[in-house]
Amino acid sequence: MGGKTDVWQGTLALMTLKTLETMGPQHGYGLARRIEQTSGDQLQLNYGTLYPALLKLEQEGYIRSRWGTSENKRRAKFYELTKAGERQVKKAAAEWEQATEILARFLTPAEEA
Amino acid sequence: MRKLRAWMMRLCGLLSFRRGEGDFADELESHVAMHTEDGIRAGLSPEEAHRQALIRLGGAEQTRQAYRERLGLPWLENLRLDARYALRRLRNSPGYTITAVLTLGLAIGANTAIFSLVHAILLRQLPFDEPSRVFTVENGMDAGLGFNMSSKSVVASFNEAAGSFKTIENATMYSSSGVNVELGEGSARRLKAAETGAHFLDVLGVTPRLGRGFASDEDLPGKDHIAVISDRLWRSGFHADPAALGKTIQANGFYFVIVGVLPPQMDFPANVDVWTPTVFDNQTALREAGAYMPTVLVRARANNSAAAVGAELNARAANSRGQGTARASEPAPDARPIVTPIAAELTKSIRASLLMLSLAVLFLLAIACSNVAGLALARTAARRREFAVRTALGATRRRVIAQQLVESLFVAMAGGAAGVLFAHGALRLLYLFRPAALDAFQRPAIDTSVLIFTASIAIAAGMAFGMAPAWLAGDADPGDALRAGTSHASIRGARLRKILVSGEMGIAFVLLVGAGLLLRTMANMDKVPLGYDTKGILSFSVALHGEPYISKQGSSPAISAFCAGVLDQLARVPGVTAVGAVSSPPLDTRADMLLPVMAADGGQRQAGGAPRVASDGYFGAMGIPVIEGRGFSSQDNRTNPRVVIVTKDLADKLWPGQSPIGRPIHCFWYCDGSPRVIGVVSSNRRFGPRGDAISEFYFPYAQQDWTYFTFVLRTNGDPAKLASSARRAVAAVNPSQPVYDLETMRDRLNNNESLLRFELFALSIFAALSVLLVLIGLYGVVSYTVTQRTREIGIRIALGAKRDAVLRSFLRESALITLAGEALGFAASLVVMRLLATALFGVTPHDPKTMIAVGLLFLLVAMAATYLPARRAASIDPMQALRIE
Repeated sequence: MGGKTDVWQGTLALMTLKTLETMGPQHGYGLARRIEQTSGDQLQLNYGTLYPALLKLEQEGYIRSRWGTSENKRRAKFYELTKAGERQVKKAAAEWEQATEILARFLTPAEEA
Repeated sequence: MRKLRAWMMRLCGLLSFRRGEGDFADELESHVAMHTEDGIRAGLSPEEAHRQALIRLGGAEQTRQAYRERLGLPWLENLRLDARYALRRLRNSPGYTITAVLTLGLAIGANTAIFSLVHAILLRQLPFDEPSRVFTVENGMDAGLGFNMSSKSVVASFNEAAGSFKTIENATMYSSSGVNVELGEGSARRLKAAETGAHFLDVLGVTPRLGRGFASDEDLPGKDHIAVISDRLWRSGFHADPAALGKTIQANGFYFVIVGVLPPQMDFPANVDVWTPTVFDNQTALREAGAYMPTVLVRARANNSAAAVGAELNARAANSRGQGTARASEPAPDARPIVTPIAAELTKSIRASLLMLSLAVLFLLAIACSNVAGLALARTAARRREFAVRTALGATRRRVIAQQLVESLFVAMAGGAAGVLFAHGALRLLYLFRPAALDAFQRPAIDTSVLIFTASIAIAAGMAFGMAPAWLAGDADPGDALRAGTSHASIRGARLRKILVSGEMGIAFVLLVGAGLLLRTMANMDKVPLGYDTKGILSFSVALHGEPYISKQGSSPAISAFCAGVLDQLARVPGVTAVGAVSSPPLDTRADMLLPVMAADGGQRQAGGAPRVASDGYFGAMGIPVIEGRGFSSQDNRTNPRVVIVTKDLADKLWPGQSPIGRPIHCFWYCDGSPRVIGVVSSNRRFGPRGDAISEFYFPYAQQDWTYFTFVLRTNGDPAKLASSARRAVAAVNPSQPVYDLETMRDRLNNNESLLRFELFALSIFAALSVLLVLIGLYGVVSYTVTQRTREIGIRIALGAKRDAVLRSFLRESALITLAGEALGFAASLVVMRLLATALFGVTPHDPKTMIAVGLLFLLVAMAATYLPARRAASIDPMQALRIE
């Protein structure tokens, strides 16, 4: 697995939520950069896809947004987790861990063989 | 839950679309700016940094589009756009829009009008407690729920039997008739009263709004002189004063104390204002005509169907027959107990008509839909290039179809709105021709439930006629459509239209045959000799009750004096050429009775006949010919020997082949002194053209008392104008006597056949509309074909084709379409016309004359509709035709 990979369907939401959980309120551009950094620059994020995803999360009530000022004194929209969002991070993270664990059991013996 | 929340937010997003978009533009701008700054910091030139930022974003416009789709609901947004586009397109083609909306409006209006009748009558919620548990019982005598004589003793055994069934909670009897009611103001009014058993209100589950109902022993003599009155009478007669309770009213001279007022919606039996628990009380006898046939009503215990009640009653009847306590012989199936839900019983006279008309308007709607589908198909064919371009540019088939359907739905909804307007007018028109049976029901109105029905059929119609063109539009192969001007798809559309028109013809054929059969029925009935005149005769009734008209020993001078007085007054009215009085005229709706009549001159023969009382001028005034002997004269009075006049058929039965003049007769009750026959009158069809004549025997009113009379006035002018003179004549003799059933004999005849007239009127209109629509449809198809083939015809004519041949080819094609439709219609008629069988008279449901006439009419209509556009085709100038396109 050499090159950068695209973000898998459905994982962007969890990445966003988790990033917001660890970093606190963050604007869209910062979020995008942070996700790339966290992935060790393994992920090639199409920034344009982040905004509809943020909108969806906001519509679902997991995050809320307000206008603020960035570290560079620039007006930007900041996103932060809601209570429901905090619960959702835990729930979704647990589900993913379980899913990857199960998948790993299939993959590991195959590598041995 | 989260999904729903998101959905709601998106719905809101749709409404505050612009704000959300503006907000995002700012956000995007700040994103790009930050990214660019980062790029500059990393050493890129400002231009390159900005370019990189946009590349990583994946394009600003694409991002905005993705955001927009998430912000609102794309399909709803599409719908909004489709709607706007459809409206614009419809505005741009007013010809199509108006034709389609009017066509659908007429059909939907007809459906709405008929449905409002169905809703008011067949779907009516009866004002009873759990009406589905109330049933009528016929032939209940063997099971104990019946009677074979008019006696109060029947009531006790009836009430005892009523409590002995597992499936029946309660049972009662009732019978209604007109009565003279005096509320204490001096003059009487003519109302309808019901004589019932004590449990009548319990069986129906009706609670008085004021006062009380009947106690369970109040149908016994001595306790039964109480009454409950309708809300209507309480308001009109007592100004809604609660003090009406306890007041005494007089009905036919008998006194009743008001104990209760029923709720306003209680209207059963229809139009009754006074209910008394006097069923079978010989002392009161609110009824007027002889026969007394109460209806039996039962309330079933919970969860018992008509079948369950019927089974128990039949078992009981069979058992009592076995024990010899009832008729020994096994009765015919229709003489066994029959249990019918009350709702079905109340609507039985009109249900078949309403279902027939519902089917007719549904047919009309099918024709309208297929007509509009035809028009829409032509539009679709004309827009093939547009669809092809859109498909080529990436529109999905679903979107193209959806857009067409949206347009169809708009037309249908507009048609539905127009339909509601039409329905108001149609309902008023139908109500002018309403059958007498409708008077027992509330006036139908277009209320919310009817409007919901209208909207539903409008949407269904929109889907129905929108389907074919939408499918054809979605089917456009871009390359094919863009290459050719006309192509196989438009030809396929044209073929589809021809099939549609054929189908329309078939349906219209059925409607027209139906109307034709009813028309022939009407004509046949007008030809039936009734045996009396219906033109130029006014009639009205008077019933004499209480003092001084109580009959003593069979003759009361007051009664004959009243009768003579009124006749005298009537004879003086200007314009009146003859007057008469009779106890029961032809076309009377009151119950009748037949008595055995015997020849009293040693003959053994016996026949059933209805006793009547008549005045000396009656036969002349009514136009009933005296064919042997003489009519009554003023000499046939109390002092002279008793005389009788018989109808021809009664004379033939009693004295076949002999002259009856001078022969005495014998009968129950009325034949003291063996009256002798002085004349024979011709038989008359008292039940109208459909009924046979019944035997009658007439006594002079001066020799036989009768408590009710119908007076008849003959005039050369308009009989309806004599109405007020007739009232004055009665008032001059006795001002407190109510006059009722004041109507011309023509009105009586029309009422008698009102259901047929209603059906004929409604079906004729629907049939005429259907023919009109088919005409328009065929004209449209032919015109369209002519336009499509202009080039081809031009070439043909240029190559020497005869113009006549062109014309003929179009006429031939239309004839083929028509014949195919007629074949379809003929086959359908054979099945459908059976529905009309009971309404028909003197004509079979498969009457060949009607079928042929309708077939020829359609061919004629089709040729007319084809001729105009076909002539246009035949007169095409080849040079001009070739220059088009």
